[in-house]
Parts: sequence; C-alpha cells; structure tokens
Amino acid sequence: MYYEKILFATTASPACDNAAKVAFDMAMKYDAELVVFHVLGVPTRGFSTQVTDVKTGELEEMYDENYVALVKEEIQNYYESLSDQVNVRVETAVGVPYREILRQARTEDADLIIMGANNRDEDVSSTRYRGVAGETLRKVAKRARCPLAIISRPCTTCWKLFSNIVVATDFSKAADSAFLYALKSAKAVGARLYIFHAYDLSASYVGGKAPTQGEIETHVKQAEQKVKEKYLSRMGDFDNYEVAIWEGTPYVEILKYARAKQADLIVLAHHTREYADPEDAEFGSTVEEVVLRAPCPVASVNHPDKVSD
Amino acid sequence: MPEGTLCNKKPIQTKEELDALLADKSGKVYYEEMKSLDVDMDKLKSAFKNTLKSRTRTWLDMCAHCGLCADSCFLYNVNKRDPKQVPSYKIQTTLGELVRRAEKNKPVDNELMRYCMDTAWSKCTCCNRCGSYCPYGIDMGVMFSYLRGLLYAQGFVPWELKIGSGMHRIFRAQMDVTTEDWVETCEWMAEESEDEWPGLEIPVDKEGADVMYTCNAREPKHYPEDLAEAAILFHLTGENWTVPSTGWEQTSLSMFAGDWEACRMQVETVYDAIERLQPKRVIGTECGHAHRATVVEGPYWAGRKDGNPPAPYIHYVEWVHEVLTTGRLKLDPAKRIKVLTTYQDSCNYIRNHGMADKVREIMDYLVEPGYFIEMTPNREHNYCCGGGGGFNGVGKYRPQRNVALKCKRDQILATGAKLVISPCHNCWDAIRDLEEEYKIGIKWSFLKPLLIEMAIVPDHLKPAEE
Repeated sequence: MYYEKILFATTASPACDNAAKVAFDMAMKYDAELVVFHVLGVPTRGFSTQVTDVKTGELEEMYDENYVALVKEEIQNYYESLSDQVNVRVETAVGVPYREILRQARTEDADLIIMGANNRDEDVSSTRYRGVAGETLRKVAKRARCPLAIISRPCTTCWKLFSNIVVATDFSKAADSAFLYALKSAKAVGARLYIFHAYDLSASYVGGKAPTQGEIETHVKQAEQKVKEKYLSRMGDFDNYEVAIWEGTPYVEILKYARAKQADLIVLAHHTREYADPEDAEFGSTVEEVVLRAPCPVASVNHPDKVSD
Repeated sequence: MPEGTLCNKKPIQTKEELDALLADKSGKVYYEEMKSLDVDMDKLKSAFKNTLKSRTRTWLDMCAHCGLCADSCFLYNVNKRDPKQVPSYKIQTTLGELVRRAEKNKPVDNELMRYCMDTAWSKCTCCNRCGSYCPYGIDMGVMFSYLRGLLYAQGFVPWELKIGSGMHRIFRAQMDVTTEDWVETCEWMAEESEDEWPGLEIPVDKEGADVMYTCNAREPKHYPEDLAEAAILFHLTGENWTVPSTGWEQTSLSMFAGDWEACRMQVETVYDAIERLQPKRVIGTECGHAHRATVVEGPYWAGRKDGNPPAPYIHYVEWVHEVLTTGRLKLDPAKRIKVLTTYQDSCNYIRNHGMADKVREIMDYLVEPGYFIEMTPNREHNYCCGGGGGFNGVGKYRPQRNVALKCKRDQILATGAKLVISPCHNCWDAIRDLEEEYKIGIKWSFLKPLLIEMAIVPDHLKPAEE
C-alpha cells in the first residue's frame, strides 16, 4: 500500500494535533503530497453570503478573499514545525464539513483521508468541534471512497514501522475492502495481520433471548468458515497472520483484542445504514466507539476503489 | 455621485461585476453609495404609466384605512403592534407615496427611496396573509412585490439580492453552480448511493421521461444529499425520471429582488429544458418560492399566454401525496414518527396554491396517530416562517428578521412539538435559524429523509449482502 496523495482534514487546532503528526509523517515517509484541508464555515442564513465560522461560531463573509488568505496563512503557520520536507498544500472550502471533505477527496482523488477525533476538553473550541466532528466522522467514514484514518491519541510509532494490524470484520461487502486494505498494509510494512470477528451478542439480546452456548459455538464455527472462504483464500504466500473469533459486544471485543495484540492500527468497515435522524443516532456505532477508545489509529474502509488491485 | 460603481441602476451583466459586488464585504461600499444614488423620475413615471394597472390603482385608492389588516400581519404583532407595521400604512407610505408624488410631479428623494427599500424588504415578506383579511381583498404582498420591482430598477435593492439576481443572470442559478458542477454532482450522488441502492441512477438529459426534476441550487452547492434522496425516492417508486443539464434551477432570488428580467431569463431556462426533453411532467423540490416562481408566476414572466409552464409542473408534496395514496411508496407503519410533530405551512404553496389538505394526508402516513399537532393558526391562515420573501438572507435586516422569527417560535412552542416538518427551503432555514437564535429544543426536517427512513424497500431493490 502506498500513498501519492493524502488529504488531511483539520480544524487546525489542538483537537487535530495528534492526527497532524501522523499526516505529516506519513506524507514525508511515503513521499506523498499532503493536502491540508480546512472547512472555513458552515453556510447559514438562507442565501446569505455569510457563514458560521467552524472554530469561533462567529459569522464571516464567505467570499472575502482576505479572510480566506488570512486563514490559509494561519494554518500554514500552525503546521510550520511539521512541514519540513513535506510537500504541503493548504486548501479551504465553505460548506457542511463532511460534505466538503468528501468533495475535496473526490476532486483530489486522494488515496487516504486523515482526520482527528478529539475526546478531551482542552481547548475552547473543542466542545463545539466535537458536535461537528461526531457527525463529520460518521458521514465521512460511511461515504469516503478511499480509506479514512482517524487518529484520536498520540501515535508514536511511524506508520511504516507498524508491526501489528488488526482487521475487524462483520463479513459485510464493505468489510472486504477493509480486509484488503489491512492485508496490503501489513504486506507493505511487514506487519502481522490479525483477522478478528466478534459474534454480536448484544444484537441477539434484542430478540429478548440470549443465545445458548451451543448456538454461540455454532456461530463461531460458521465465522471461522467464512474467514477461510473470504479472507484466507486471498492471502497468497503471506503467512504472517492469525485469526480470532470472539463473542460479545463487538466494539468492546475489538478493543480488548487490539490491546492484547498491541495493535498499531485497527481497520474496520463502517457499514451501518444511516438514514435514521443523524442527531438521534447514538454516538455509538462500532466504528465510533472504537475510534473514541482505541489507543491506536483506526482506519475505516468501505469501498474497493483505492484498495483493490 | 448619482450612480455608484456597485450601487447603481444597472443589472449585473458580467461575472466581473458580480465578483466586485461580492468582494464588498457586507455591502459596506454598496450601501454607502446608495445614500447618494439619484432617483430617475422619468423612469419611475414611465414605469407607472406602463405597469401601474387598474387593480393596483384601485387597491391604493379604495383602502379605507380601517386597520383590519393590522392583526393579520405577523410583523405588526411581533413588533409590539407598532402602527408603522400596519400593512396599509406600510404600503401607503411607500408605493402610495411614490404614485402620488409622480402624479403631482413632486420629486422623490433618495431618503424616501431608502425608506421604501427598508419597508419593502424588512417589513413585508410577501406572504399575502393580509390579502385574506382585508374586507376589500387588498393584497399588500402583491403590491410590495410590485414596489420591489420599481426599487430594483432604481438601484435601491438590498446587497444580497442584487447579488442573488446577478447569480441568476450569470449562472442561471441562485448560486455559482455551473452546468459542469451540476452534472458532476449528479454523477457523484449516484455513485455515493449505488452501494445501498443498486441500480440507482441520476439520468441527465433523458428525453421523453415521465418526470423531469428541478431543484434549488443550494442543494448541489451545499446539501447534495438532498438530490441523492430525491433520486432514492424516484428509484424506490420506479419513476422514469431525469434532470436537465441546464434548466435545473427552479428558484428565483430575482423574484425576491424584483428583477423581472432576470426572472424571465431564469424561468425560460427551465421551460427550454422542458421543451428540449419533453417530459410528461415536471416535479420541483421541497421549496415554496421556487414553486411560485416557476409554476405560478413564471409563465407570465415568460409571456406564456395560457399561464402554464410547457408541461404539468407539480410541487414535491403533490408527488409525495400521489405515491403514498396510490401505494407506489409504502411506509412501514411501525416506523411512524412517535414524537410530537407539527408542520409548517409554506405560504407559497399552501395559502397561495391550496395544498393544505394534501399535506395533512401526508402527515397521516408519517406521524403516529396522536403525535401530530397543528400550529395555531394553520393552513391558509398560517403565519410566514419569519424569513420569507428574501428576509432570511439579507444581512442588513438580520435584527429585524430575528424579531420576526418570534412569531413562529411562539407558535411552535405553543404546540409543544419537538419536530417541525418543513417541506420548504426558506421555512426550513428560518426554523433552523430560530433554533440557533432562541434555542427552544426542536428539530426540523424536509420530507425526503423521513420518507426514506420509513420506506418499505422491495426485496429486488435491496443490496445483495456478500
């Protein structure tokens, strides 16, 4: 897996610092162009030319070239210490953040999107940002055609030196792409690949009846078979992998497993249907829970576009 | 300085002129120049001679100043019943005054023109509610719309609306969305939806389709998922549909601006698309003023003698009503909305185009019995959202607009509803803004996402898993 163009979507604030370090480091190591992308503001007030600034909540003129130039310069300064030896371009847009990130990724034909996920209240804009970020992450993860790497905590290991990659699958079509990305990444950096599936007991409880031990075992066996058919058959001569099937609440099991295996990267697909009122949807799909709690970067991959041969 | 570089009587003709106007942050220079803009009396007199017809003359003359229109105006009510907000006062001191002065050969000064502008765009949303309450049927909304045209021709128009009508003139859309942008957005949205909706297409320029779909430029510009949602619903109902590569923009900020020439240019683009593609009928998006502009008023702007667009042209709610009542779109009753819900009647297609019953029937499908509550007043008597007629987007009048939102806020609060269904872009925006401004804890939605969430998807349209 190599990257020619990486799109780093950022608020250019401490909320994205951990992600910035990974983004600039990857761009340098892979000799990729780094597009630092910032959504200036969200359109508001009907057809008005004003937008609500994402960071400050203030109203700004979206057609004001001086304002845009000022913000671009601010972003450049903010990342100056990381920019050495990196081919960086700063781009801005006005619009709904998730939509503009997707639009930019499409226009740039980016190979990877990197975003931060903030979970602490360390800067003034973070509370506001988190509200936007939750929706933004969810929607970008769902719709992006290329892999999306989400970095919420400091990542001290260089991407190229990853030694343990966990791919969590639910056997969906989207998960095929997640698997391919994990496999290619593992091959490329010489990491060990851990293929993991958690049989979802929480969903079983929805029916009102917990599965018996026998049923669980049957499911685990079926999952083992699926792993063989879907994934092991595609390994070629790559043999640095292992498989585990657990049961429980998927995001909890994924996190436990990743911790046990000292994962450097967790790869998974975001496949939930999403037409429920996004405001109502709990901040709690598997991907989001994993992102919030994982000690390492999380990559969401849903589409084959950038990962298949 | 009679004519400003930015504020003048000339309509926007080039992209450069438009950019220059946009570069003038918040219209600072523009409004400064307006203070010394001359009034062309000959032009005003000839406009009256050519366009001030008997109806308007009669309305102005016969007004008995009885004041019965006062309570009908939400702006009068939310502005502490200020007598200067009584509709008849507002129109008599503006259009009435201009007419009287022109007839008596008295000069019209700059200050009066600016008063007329402030009144026409910040004290009337052209919701036409007063017309329903005047014992003589005098409709101040219609007259204010006429006044806006006179003011636009003299250069006295709010900055954003000069830009808006300029956008229509340059891009044939209310925002800078080119044909390439639009077609690309269609491809993008089809691509984004194809996983969940195998076989979904957004066919561009298909001739002889059953349906041609038109929308609001803000959708491709900022909310393209609205287009994707329209496509999903057409896909679900098996509609043979298309969008035109040009002539897809149904809205008309030029109507809010009173730029009648731009109105004609815009609507002719849509009619040309209809003539070119020959669809059986046209369906517009969830927008009130777009319907008024393209379906109700547009045929007259375009000089169509029969007063109709080239093909039957219906509002989105009419289509939704049709597919629900005929069973082409089936909703899962178990998924009906179970929070207290109300509905915002859009002036432009409820009061002014009679669709109140159809919308109520749609609500029966969407909302669990017992969870739907009407605003008071409602249907044809409902109040404007508070941001209609261009009010939402004009920065100069934002304080007045925010006061205007109080009417809708209090109506919604009185219902206790937590969700406001609002199939109109302008109303949707106003309700969004009133939540931001007053934080009353409500949500608001168009119909499309609700319908998709509740739709029963036939097996053959579901994605094959694995």
